[in-house]
Amino acid sequence: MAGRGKSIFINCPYDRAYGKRFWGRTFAVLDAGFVPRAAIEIDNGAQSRFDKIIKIVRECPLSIHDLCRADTPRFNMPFEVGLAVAMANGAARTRKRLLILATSKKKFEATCSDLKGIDPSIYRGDPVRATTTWLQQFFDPRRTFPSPLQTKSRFDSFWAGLPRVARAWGFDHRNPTWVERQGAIHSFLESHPLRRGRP
Amino acid sequence: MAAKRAAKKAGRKSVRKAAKRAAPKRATKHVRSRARPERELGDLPSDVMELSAKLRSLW
Repeated sequence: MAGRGKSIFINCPYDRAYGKRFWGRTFAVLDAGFVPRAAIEIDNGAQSRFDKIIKIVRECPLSIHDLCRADTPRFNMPFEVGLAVAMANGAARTRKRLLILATSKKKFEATCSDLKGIDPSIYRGDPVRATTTWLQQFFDPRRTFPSPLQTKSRFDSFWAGLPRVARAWGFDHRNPTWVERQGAIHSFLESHPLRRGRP
Repeated sequence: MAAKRAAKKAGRKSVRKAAKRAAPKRATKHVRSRARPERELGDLPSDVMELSAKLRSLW
């Protein structure tokens, strides 16, 4: 199973309209050497979905919450932010770190006023750079890590080749399973090792 | 003491210089300082790793 120390919980919409951004976030997390976790990895087992989400949030020291849809009548994402904030500030003092993303500060403050004082990272359409920029603070300085620009460039190459690879293997890249999503990204990263100074 | 003995044997007065001369050369020092290890990809579940191995040749 995923190494607990390097896991990142990704809390974002899973619909097709958000598809490329979800690919981008997962790509940035994997490219930086972290392990992505998400509520969609949960299959319908005996354990309740809520218990599994609690388990994932508890196991992940880092989490990324994209509240770009916080104003639509789906409350899963704000609910999961609440869980992560509660665990970060609860009695356990678990040293959790959160990245909260929004498309506009005004919209964020209007829809999630309890989080006033927490500055969300505002992004406009680029799914990769905000994630990698935030992850840089957790990098081990003795190792070589991709810069936000490198990850962006590598994601663009990945995105261009993804439909062909998905067709060849026989999965729908617009609606992949969690395993297919991670497997496709990991295989790309393994076959395109990071080179310092070259995107 | 070993450095002092080496200095005496070499007929030198400076122990420090003799010790430096007697010390093995650190040929890899320069290389080590420049080479930086790559980042490691995290430990993913086994089903992801299996699929990744199958997809690798398609890129």
